[in-house]
Formats: sequence, structure tokens, C-alpha cells
Amino acid sequence: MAAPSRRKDHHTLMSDSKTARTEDPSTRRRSHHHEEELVHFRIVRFMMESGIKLRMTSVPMATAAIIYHRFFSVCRLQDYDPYLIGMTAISLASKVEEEHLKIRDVINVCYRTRHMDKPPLESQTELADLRQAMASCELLIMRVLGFNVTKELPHKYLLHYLKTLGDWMDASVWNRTPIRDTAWAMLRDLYHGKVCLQHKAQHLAVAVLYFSLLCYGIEVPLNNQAETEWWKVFSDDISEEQIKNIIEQIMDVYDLEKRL
Amino acid sequence: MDLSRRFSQGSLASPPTLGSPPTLGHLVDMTMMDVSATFHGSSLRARIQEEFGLSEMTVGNDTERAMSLFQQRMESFIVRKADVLFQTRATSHVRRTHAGKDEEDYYAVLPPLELFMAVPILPAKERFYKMVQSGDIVVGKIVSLKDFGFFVKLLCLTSGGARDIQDMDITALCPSSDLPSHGAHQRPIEYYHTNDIIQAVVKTVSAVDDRIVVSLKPNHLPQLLADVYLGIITSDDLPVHFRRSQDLQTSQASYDQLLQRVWGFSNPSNVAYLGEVLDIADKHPPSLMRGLHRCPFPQEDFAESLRQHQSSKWALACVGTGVQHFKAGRHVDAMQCLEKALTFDPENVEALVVRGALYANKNSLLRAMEDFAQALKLNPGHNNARKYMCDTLLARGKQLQEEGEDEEAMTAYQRALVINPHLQEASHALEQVRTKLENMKTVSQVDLTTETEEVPSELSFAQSSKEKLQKLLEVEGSSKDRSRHRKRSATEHRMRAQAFTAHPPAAPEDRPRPTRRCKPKLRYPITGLAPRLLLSEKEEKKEKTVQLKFG
Repeated sequence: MAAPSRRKDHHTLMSDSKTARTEDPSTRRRSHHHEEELVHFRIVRFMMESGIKLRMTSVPMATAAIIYHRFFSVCRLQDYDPYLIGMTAISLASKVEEEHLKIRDVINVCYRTRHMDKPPLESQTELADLRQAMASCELLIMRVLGFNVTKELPHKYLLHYLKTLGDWMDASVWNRTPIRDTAWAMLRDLYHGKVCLQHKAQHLAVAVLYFSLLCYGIEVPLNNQAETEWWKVFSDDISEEQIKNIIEQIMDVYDLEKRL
Repeated sequence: MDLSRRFSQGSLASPPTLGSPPTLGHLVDMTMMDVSATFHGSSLRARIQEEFGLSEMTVGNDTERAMSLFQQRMESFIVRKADVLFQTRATSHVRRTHAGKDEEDYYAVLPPLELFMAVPILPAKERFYKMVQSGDIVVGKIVSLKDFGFFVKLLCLTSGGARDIQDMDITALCPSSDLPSHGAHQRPIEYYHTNDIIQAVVKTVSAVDDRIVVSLKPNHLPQLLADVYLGIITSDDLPVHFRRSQDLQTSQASYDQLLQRVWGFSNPSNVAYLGEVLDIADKHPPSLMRGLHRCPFPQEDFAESLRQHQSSKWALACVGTGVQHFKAGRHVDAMQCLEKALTFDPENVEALVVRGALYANKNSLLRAMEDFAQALKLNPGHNNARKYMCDTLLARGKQLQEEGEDEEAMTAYQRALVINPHLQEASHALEQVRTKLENMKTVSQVDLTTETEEVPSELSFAQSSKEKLQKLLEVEGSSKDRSRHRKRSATEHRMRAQAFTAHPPAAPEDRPRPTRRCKPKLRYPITGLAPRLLLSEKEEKKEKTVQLKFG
């Protein structure tokens, strides 16, 4: 489906300045790709901050990030205001995941997060404009995504794996080491990058759990003597190589933050 | 590296030496860091020491790992995020759940992990003996009954985690002393038979000779599980995970397949439930990103406070236009603006004060007082509110006085004085009312003493008067051309008055304001001055128009 063209009369959140491009033609495509990654990272960071201020839980936040990434895998970054798309993705995700947010709250928070230097939104006309923009943007996103906005998320899987694994581990180790918190944190953080779109939900959950255990150097008891290793139990179509690949992609996402 | 070898005598928990950043030791849990370093090898340890300038003892048994690219990246990551990963935090306890029937559909309860992993039995059995502790609840089958108790072959655990112990052949003893009695005529042990399935609580575990003693008495239960049933259970009451593991043996499904099949997996609130059970705070979500891991946002940027701020701004704008309208004399428009302001922000003090003033100008004094009262509740120091409230109370007091409700007038003046003790007018009016009431009280007391002798005769007189009244009423009813507004004769009035006096309907204080001309004798013994009750409310209002000025 052809991506619809941008409407010029939208009220947008983006300021006028755009990121400059490098001049060297040979590295332009690669650096362009990297820059885009950086822009997307920045926008998803903006979405995460707004989500915290709106007291959103992890699942609608993840859905919003997925909607955003899927949209920009189809459309070009230059044609649309990514902040507006991000804000609309948040509102759309809250509807999809049945954790409804008031549109006025979403607009207030996103405006404030975007324009930290300006005072918070007071004008009723500007609010009405943004509301209008969001409504048309929502329809645009739905059309681009073919009205298919749900995707199975790894959060459910991760929690069940944590419960099952936790029953087997030593209670003192499990309670003392923040493996659960770290795994959940990594799962939230990986939505800053496109890795969330590229793997199955179960694979992401297993990889995040593996990563967390690896960071703290904790071993699953009797793992080496068992017939099936614990990660193979949880997702039988994954190999250790694949897990390590996913972990490397997650580490790439953390590296992006350094370049911000 | 040399430095670390030199200080090999130090303990793990020793504070770092002078070269290190002073705050790191407090923020970071060294034992955790040590565990990680032991796992990954000496290169990670070296890098941590280098990064943070700590001189720590090298534990001799670091596993040596092949330095693949992945391992190197892993180590860089750990070092970079060490302060967040190994941050000291309170121990978070997983909620110790009892695998009861209620929990079945909150999330997908699955058989224990070791069943899927197929661990070898002997090491698993050793581990079980180490892990089981007193207070765990077990389910077992009675294998043999003896005089001193019975032996139970353990089937599974129902709290403290699911455990697959069916094939391990673990037997526990339940002594007779730990059996509850089931009747005076029976020894407790006779209640039980072989092959009964019972749920019991572990009393003691002896690690040395692998003996477990269980009990059926509820006093051995831990506090959190104090209401768990102990005793004989049927196969329906077996915990879910056990039943599922039985099914698993026949069906040979994988973990994932089983997960998809179980109903609890599609429960949309299982994420919230498990998050709570596992003690993962989704309200203050954890993150490893530098920008997010401490919640760095001020409270006023959150959704609720932004909304409140916006609403009060809009309300104030409306109040401004409302005041303009009022000054120009357009009271209806002013009221509309004020109502709009209060829909934006129902607790806006300015709006309440202005609306109160508008009401007072229209003479809806009660509504005005409500608004001022609420404004003062929200902001007790608001000067205009206090001023207007006092003025309104004074006006109300005067109104009440003219209606004859002197006691209520007094309360109104007292309230005004509470708000502003220096108000001259209020104290004068209060004094006036007080003296008037006291005078009336003394006179009424005098009258009471004179009237007590007449009481018995009054009763009989009342009875006869009642009969006369009834006769009169019958006469009235029979006459055909009576008009509704027919004037009553003087005798009739007197009769009715006396009847009314003899049977007063209620105490004077909580009686509704009477609309008749007659009042009971006791209240206004200085007769001749008929109280001005029949002045309609409209006339009264015309008499007192209160003008409040805008400050």
C-alpha cells in the first residue's frame, strides 16, 4: 500500500530544525541509517518518558513502541513529524491494551516533555489543534498498519518463565539478586530499537532472562546434568547462538544511548 | 593486578582503599559483584577493579573463560552498567503463594521446571532435602500405619514452589502427637487409613539423616498460610501443578504447548498479577538506561498535575470575564461565566468567592454561604472570602431576627465572630439578641409558675373544648354553601387555639414554622404581640437588600 502523503496543515510537535546530514556520499547511506536509528531512539525515549509521567504500565508502552517502529519501517522519516506519530502511538496503544488514557492528559504530557523550555500548554485553541492532528494521525497510522495493531508481547512469557524458574532456584539467591527487576528492565529498554520487531515473543523473553542471569553470574542448579537445558525448555525452537545474537542486538540498543 | 595480589589478606566486605571513589562502596553490593566476577573470570574482575579503582582480593577459583567476542562485549557491558546492576537494594521477596484452587486461573500454573528439564533423580533428591524447610506444606499418601504415627510418601509441595518429588520415594513421618483428635471415642490414629491422601505441614527436617517430620496440627503452620486446611484431601484437591504434571507424563507436551493450552495464560490481568507476585514494581518501572533508571521527573510534570494546572488557568480566565460582566451590570452573563469556570475547576477558590458574591447580591444568602464556606475550607486565609462571609452572615442574622428565629440568628452572629473576632457590628447584634432572648426566658419562667396550677383543670377543659370543636366542624361540613375562605368566628378561633394548646403537635424547636395565626401559649406569654409569621418571604426580602461591594 502506498504511504499517504503528509498533510501540511497539521499542527505538529516538532520544531523547525532538522538533523544535518553528512556530505560524504560513500558513507552517506550507512551514516544515514545510523542517524535514523538515533532519531528513532530519541523519539522512543520521549515516548518512554511520557509513558512514565502518564503512569502507563509496561505492556501498553511496548505496544506503542511497536506501532511506532512498524510505522517507520514503512514510511520515511522526513515525511512525518515523528513526535506526533509517537504521541499518537501512545494514545492508540492505550486503547488497544484497554488501559485508557484521556487524550487531554496525553497531549499535555507529551507537549511538556517535548518542549521543556516552554510553559505547559494553556491555550485551548492549541489543544484543540493538537487533538485534531492526533485524530487524523491515528487514522493514518491505522491505514499504514493495515488495521492490525496487536502483536504478541514477550511480557507474559517472561513473567511465567520467571515464576517457573524462581520455584526451582534457591530462595535466598533468587530473593537477594535482582534478576527479576533486571530482566524486566532489559525487556522494557529493548523497545528503543528495532530488535523488538525481529524476533518471536518467546525468544525475546528467553534471551532477556538468559542475559540477566549472565550479568549476575548465576547458574541454574543442575542445569548441566539435565537432559534439556532450562532455556531449551522454555522455547524449544531456539539455539544458544540465536540467544547470543539477540543479546548482542540488545547491547547495541544500549550503545545507542551512549551516542545520544 | 599486582596491587590486588599484595592485599590478598583482606576480606570481601572490607571498605575500598583511598584510591577509590568514596561513595561507591555504599552504593554497590560487593558480594553480588563478586559472584558475577567469579562466574566470568579474572579478566572481568581485573576490569572492574581498574574501572572503579578497588583493590580487592582475588578469589582463587575464578573460572577461566574463552575470550570470544561475545564474552568481551558481555564484560564491557557489565563494567559499564555495574553501578546500576549491582546497586544495593532491599531484598525483594517473591510472594509465597499457596497453590490453592483460586490461583488456578489467575495465571498459567504449570508443572515444575525440573520435570521438563528431566534432571537426574539423585542430585535432585539431595537438593530437595536441602531446600525443604519447616513451614512448607506437603501432600502425601499414607503408606503404613503404626502405633506411634504413620508414614507418608510425599507426592508434591503446595507452597514454597512446586516440586516434582513423586518419583523420589521420600517418606516422612507424622507422629500421633501431631494428629488432631476427631472425637472422644477414637484414638486420633484410627481416623486414617492406608492410601489416604493428606495435606500436612513440615515440622522438622533433619539434614543429617534426611528425615522429615510432618504434622497435621494447625499451630505448626507459618503465619502467612495460617488458614490452610490440613488433613485428608481428595484427588480433586490436589494442587493444579501436580495434576498437570500427571497429565504431562501421558501427553509429553512441551512447556510452550502446555502454556498455550492453559486458560490462565490468556487472562489479560495475569501480567499485573504475576508482576505483583514476583515483586516487580511496574509503577516505578526499572530500567538500565542512564536517562531512565532513577525517576528524574519532577512531580509537576506528571499527567494529573498538568491537568490541574491547566484547569485552574482556564477557570481563572473565565472568572476574569465574569467579573467584567458583573461590573458592567450583566449579571446573567456573569453567572454563566462563573458556572463555566467551576465546571473547569470545581475547587477553584477565586471562582467560588465570586460566585458566592453573585449569589449574595441576588439574595440567595444560603447558597452564597455555602460557596464561601467551601472557599474558606480550601483556603482559610483568603481575605475576600472571609470579608464576604462575615457580611453575608450578618445579613442572614438580621433576616433571621426579623423572622423571629433569634437563636439561629445568634448562631449566625457567632459564626461571623469566629471568622473575624473584631467585627463590631456582629458583636453588637449578638449582644442585642442575647439580651432579648434572656428577657424572654425570664418572663416565660415567671409565666410557667403561674400556669402550673391551671394544668389539671385545663385538661378537662381541653376535652370538652375538643368536643365542641368537633361539633362545630360537623356544622361546617353540612352547610352547602360554605366557601373555602370563609372567615371563622371568634369563638371558633378560641376553640381551635385552646385545642391546639392542649395538644401541641411537637416541641417548639423542631416544629416547622407554623402558618397559622395561633401559637401555643407558652412561647409568647406576653400576648397581644402576635408574631409576624405571615409576612410572606417575598415581602421580607424586599425589605432587606444586601449590597456587597467588590473588593
